[in-house]
Order: sequence, then structure tokens, then C-alpha cells
Amino acid sequence: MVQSENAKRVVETFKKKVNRQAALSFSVCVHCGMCNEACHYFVATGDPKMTPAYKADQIRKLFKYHIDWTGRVFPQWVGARTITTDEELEALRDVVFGSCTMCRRCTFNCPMGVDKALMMRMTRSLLTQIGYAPQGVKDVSKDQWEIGNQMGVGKEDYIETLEWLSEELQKEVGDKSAEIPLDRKNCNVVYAINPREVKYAPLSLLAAAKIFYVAGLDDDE
Amino acid sequence: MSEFLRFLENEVQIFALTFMAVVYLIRLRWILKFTAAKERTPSRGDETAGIMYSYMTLAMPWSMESTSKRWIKYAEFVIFHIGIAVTITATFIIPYAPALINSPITVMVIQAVIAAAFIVGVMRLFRRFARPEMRVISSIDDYFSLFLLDFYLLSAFFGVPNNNEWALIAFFGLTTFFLIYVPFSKISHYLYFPFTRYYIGKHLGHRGVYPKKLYKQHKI
Repeated sequence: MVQSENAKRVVETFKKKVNRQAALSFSVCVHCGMCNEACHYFVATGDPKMTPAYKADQIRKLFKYHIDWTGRVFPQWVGARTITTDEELEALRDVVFGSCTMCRRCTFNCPMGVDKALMMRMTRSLLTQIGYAPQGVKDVSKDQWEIGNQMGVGKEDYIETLEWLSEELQKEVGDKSAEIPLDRKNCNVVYAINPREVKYAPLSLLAAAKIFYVAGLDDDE
Repeated sequence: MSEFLRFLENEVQIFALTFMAVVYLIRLRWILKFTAAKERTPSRGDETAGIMYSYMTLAMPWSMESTSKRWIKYAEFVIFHIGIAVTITATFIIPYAPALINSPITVMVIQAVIAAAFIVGVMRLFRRFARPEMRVISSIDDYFSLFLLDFYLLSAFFGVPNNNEWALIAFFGLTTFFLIYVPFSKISHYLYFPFTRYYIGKHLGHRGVYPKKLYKQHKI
């Protein structure tokens, strides 16, 4: 089968990206399955394709096929395969971007010390380099660089949201002096928010504000 | 002892061992050709302590959830690898120091260790076939290596008494095959394992994650 242009670029870039730590992690896995239950994706779904070793194998097969000489000589024997179509690339993209949070629990539970998060990060970087990252990731990266947060929430939007949330807080706690402080100096507690809350779940900010209000942590001292 | 068995236990083994050593040296040279990534962040911990902790992990089953919660799996791991180590040692004892296993009790102890490892090996093979999450990650090499190791342990069980020519031919024949096959299979994981543990220990030590700190869990 003829390899697509994107697949060729992935393979060529992959060969350049593999460092010693990655090569070792690709080579040492014995597929013992000790990492299976460390993965919340597998625990939650029970899907065998969510096991860390399976996900890592989707990248490892490229290493075996193009770099490791055992895979070059006996590809079927060691599970070595290459990527030829854009559909296969999309499947790889779904694995590395959509089924791993790179929490490294699998690595902590691996007797061999295989760093699967490293493989995922390397492949994410590789797919991003050739322009094959998911559109959502591209968008949030752009927002992060240009606006300063991944949700593209501007400062004015943020302040406006806090203002109406403060009004809601006052209504709910029955205290007109209650407010959600912003950039207040000399506080004992700093609450860092996720911009996603401002954009999609402002009520979770209100819930946090209520907790701080009841705990008395709105005071300066 | 026939001339064939003497030849198999000596010259053939030395040739196969040399072959394995050469392939391993080539593999080490190959892996060391890859450039090692360096840390780009300021250190938040102790790399040396991290490396030491990483190496000790296998001897500390409580340090990993996968072994602390499933101690049977850890016991299987220990039994299996001790059995393999004893079998490999037997390949040197039989031709070069047979007096060490003259006692029937010694032979029985060695056979018991090998038999336990064989049982664990069969359980592992069964699990690989039976469980969907194991099947999906298994290559032909995974099945073949495990099957071969089980067969090898079985041949060692019958070969260790050192009194049956056919059992010894089978044992040393398989040893020869192993010495040549292992560098190309997943069994060579022990060659890379010290390096992966070194690098993951160094990295997590740098980040202050290793050595893991144990916290008391409070009941709520």
C-alpha cells in the first residue's frame, strides 16, 4: 500500500524525535499488564484498548518497524507495523490526545520503569509539528499564546463574570457586602481558577465563593 | 555421558554464550547511540536518591499499587524469576561443578523451585490467553517466549538430577536455542531494565517525586 504524505511525514519526524529514554521505554516493555489497573480510562470503561500497554503499543509499533532491527527483520513476530493511511493517523491522534491524561500512574506501577507519558508527549508533539493535532487543541493553544489562557477569556469578560457572580452571592447568602475579591493584596489564601469555569461553569466559581464566605476567608486577616 | 552430550554441554554452550554476549554488546551500543534528553527545569529534588529509589522499587512491593494491592502477582513474579535464575545456574553447575548437586535433597529443593516457577509460568500463559486485556497487548513473541520458558523449566526439572541423557540433551538443547533467541526477543528486557529504571529515577528524582513520601491516611 502507498503511504500517504502525512503518514510519511509522521514516520520521518518520528525517527528524528526518538531519544534514549524513549528508545528504552519502547524496547523494555514485556506486556505484563501490571499497569492495566493503574489507568483510569481502563478502570472506567473496561475496554482492553484503554490499557496503557495497548495505547503505548500504537506508538511502539512504529519504533519496532522503523528503528528496532528485530521489527525490521520479523515485524509480525514483535508487533511492528507502520502507518500508511490518514485514517490510521487519525486513530493514533485519538489515542494520544484522547485517551491519556499523562498522569503517569502507569509508570509508577510499571516494574520495568516504562515511561508511557513520555511516549504520549513525544507523539503529541510529533503530530502537532506536522499539523495533525485535534482542532480543539490547536484552538486552545492559540488562545493560550495570544490571550493568556486556553479558553480565550479576556480580562473584561472575567471581571464582568465575577461582578454578576458577586451579585448572585449576595442574594444567596443575604449579605450585601459579600463579594468575590480579585487581585486583593495581603491575603492569606489565593484561589487560582480554571478559565474553563469562567466560560462554561461559572456556577462552580459561585460555589467556591460561598465556601470561602462561610469559612470567613473573605477577610483580609 | 555420550560425546554428543559432552559437546553440547561445553563447546556448543560456549559458542551460544559468546553469540549472545556479542549481540548484547551490539544492542547496548545501538541503544547508547540515541541521545539522552536532559532536564530543562531547575531541580526540585535529589536525582541520586531518585535513582536509588527507582532501583529499589522491585524489592519494595509496597511502593507500587500494582504489587501492594495484588501481592499474589508479586509473589508470582518473585517465584518465576528465582526459578529462571536457578535454571540458568544449573546450566553451569551440571557441566562444571556437578558435585554441588550430588545430594538427592539438593536436587529435590532445586526441582521444587523450578516446579513452582513452571506452575507460575503456566498460569501466566493461561492468563495471557484468557483475559481480553492481555490478549490485546500480546504479540507472537510474548506467547512464544512464555511458552518456551515454560518448556525450558520443564526440561530443567528433568535435567537437574543429571542422570538421564535424553533429559540433559533436551535441557542443553533448549539452553542453546535460548542463548541465541533471547537477544532478539522480549526476554532481553533485563538488558534494558537497569537503564529505564535509571532514567525514570533520575527524572522523577529531579522533580522531587522519587523517593516517594509515605503519608498516613486519616480516616474521615
